[in-house]
Amino acid sequence: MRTPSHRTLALGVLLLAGTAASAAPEQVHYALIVASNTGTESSQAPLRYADDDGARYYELFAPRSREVVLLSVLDADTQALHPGLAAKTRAPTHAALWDALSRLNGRMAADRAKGAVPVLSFVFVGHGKRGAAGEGSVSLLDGPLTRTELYARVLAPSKASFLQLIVDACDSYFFVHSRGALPVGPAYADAVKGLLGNRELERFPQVGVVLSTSSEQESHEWSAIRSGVFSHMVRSALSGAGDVNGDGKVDYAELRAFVAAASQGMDDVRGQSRVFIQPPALDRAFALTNLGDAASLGYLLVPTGLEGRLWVEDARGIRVVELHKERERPLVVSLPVGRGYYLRTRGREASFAITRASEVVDAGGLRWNEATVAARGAVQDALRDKLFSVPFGPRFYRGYMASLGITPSSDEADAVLVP
Amino acid sequence: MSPSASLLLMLLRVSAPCDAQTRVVLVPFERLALPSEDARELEDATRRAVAALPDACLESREDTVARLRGSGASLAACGDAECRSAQASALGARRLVRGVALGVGGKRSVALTVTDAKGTETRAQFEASAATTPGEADARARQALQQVWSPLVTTQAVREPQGSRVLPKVLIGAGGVALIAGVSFGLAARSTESKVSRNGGECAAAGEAFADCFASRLDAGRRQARTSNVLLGVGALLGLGGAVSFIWELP
Repeated sequence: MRTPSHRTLALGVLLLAGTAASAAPEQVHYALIVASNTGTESSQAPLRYADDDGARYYELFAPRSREVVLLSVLDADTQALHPGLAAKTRAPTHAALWDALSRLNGRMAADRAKGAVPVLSFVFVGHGKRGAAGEGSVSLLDGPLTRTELYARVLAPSKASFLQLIVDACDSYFFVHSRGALPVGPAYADAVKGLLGNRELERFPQVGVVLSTSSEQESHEWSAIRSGVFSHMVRSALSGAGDVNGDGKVDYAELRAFVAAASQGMDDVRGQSRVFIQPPALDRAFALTNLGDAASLGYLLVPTGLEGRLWVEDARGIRVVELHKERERPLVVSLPVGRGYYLRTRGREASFAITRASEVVDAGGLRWNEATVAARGAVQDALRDKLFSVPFGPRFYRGYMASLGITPSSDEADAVLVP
Repeated sequence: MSPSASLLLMLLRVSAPCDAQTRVVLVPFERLALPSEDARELEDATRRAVAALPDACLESREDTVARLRGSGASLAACGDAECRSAQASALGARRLVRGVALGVGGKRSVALTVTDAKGTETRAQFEASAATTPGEADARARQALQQVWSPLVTTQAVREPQGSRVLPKVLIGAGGVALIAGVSFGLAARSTESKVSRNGGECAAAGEAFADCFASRLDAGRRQARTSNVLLGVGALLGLGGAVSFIWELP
């Protein structure tokens, strides 16, 4: 009798040890969003939708994060579209930024002490420029946040195990409302070096970078979506539209391919995107978002067979997600709970609602009607017709990665069917 | 029903050939944000639930996979119910069950689509977290399927009596039997009548015994004639009833 009981005990210990070894440590997400319409110089025309972008990044990260800080001054329209959000915001000043970072670092240090993996998404939307000495900066309300400060006061002291840096500077916007050329703007490669400095970035292998900067020195926003186009693409991808292999995660390679597909149809040089996307050197397969994580979100399943350019607008008229789907695969996008939505495609729309967390709405079962929303003015035509004009899916992803000479870290695209 | 009982039932059904009216093909699930092992668990739970349905003859997974491979890896991605319905017909199935196993928001769920070869398409969902036992997953799959399966069964049940026309067949058959019996009795009565009138009923004895014998043969002939008339009347009535009910049940 003794031998079997010892065996059982040993087996139990082994099982426990195996379970402990295989269980991945919990990721805890935080987000710090800085969005400023105003530039630090009088020659910089105010942006219209940087605050809207900040509010929407807040809505994107809040349901999946332990704490989200928004530093922005929301204009009247944005406050009307996001009731109650203004009370949660602080002005995008240096003091507010250092204060928020200090608090978040305190929380992340505590998380690390408990064995968790804190992940900080640091987002900036607003004006950017390169100074006379070649040092890049982005504009806060009370002056520029320089590259030196970024490294010394944001990246170096960060307690985050992984830090995702998303920067949509003003010159990265696609163009619809031309405000004329900004006085001095960095070229693509210079901007990357100016703001980040590649060599300095190597000292922070836990930092991943998503950076937009256009080849032209003009700001591009699109009134149809009340947003910068690059940020719209990033949010769409992170909502799930960028998950090309169906694993529920959107990694840096998928995001890069998604942005490339979404902007490929823009033959106007002013609308072409210039992006710099680099995963953390520590884990190049690190995911910017994971739909599998528990979150207070609902989900729209877009099944196999449904194809083409699709976008989801909420009851406020805000375009939440946009994509151009290949027919041969299903995908799922996450949406905030407690709202009515329209799934739209050219000439047709279907209404639905997400009423509770984890609810899955099957778009295949929606009732489609003729679209009631008319197209906007001719000035919008270029973006309306050409943005998201290329289908994004495994076929595009494989071709795009091959064109870059990169082998995808995980290729589950062919394994969507259960083996 | 327990999973083992469901499995046994499924195996028994698989061993019997399926006809085009009852064959159900469950396409291997697609999966999103879920490991393949978890997705397979949910697919198997759904498979057991389909197999337990009263009017379903589920094709085995191996056969389905072999047929899909033979036709080029997977079914073409249809954009509408009409196309999917045509796929069901092409596979010789009455119904096609598809599913997407999802692992979003920390929960496991399945979105099901049931396509009938006649064109009807219905959808259902069920949740089954990782902590759910196989039995619970089976029950949830069964509940979800019953929501979309019942209308199809009801439709079929209403149509079946119209197509089978059992009552006219029974009436006409019984009428035919009655007529044949009536004719037989009629012939027997005529034979008896002939014997009685020509040979005195073939009664050999004389006197009182002859009279008794003759009377008994006469009674037998009368009974046969009466029975024949009744049977012929009943047969005619049954035939008429069959003809009326046949016309009544014409679609």
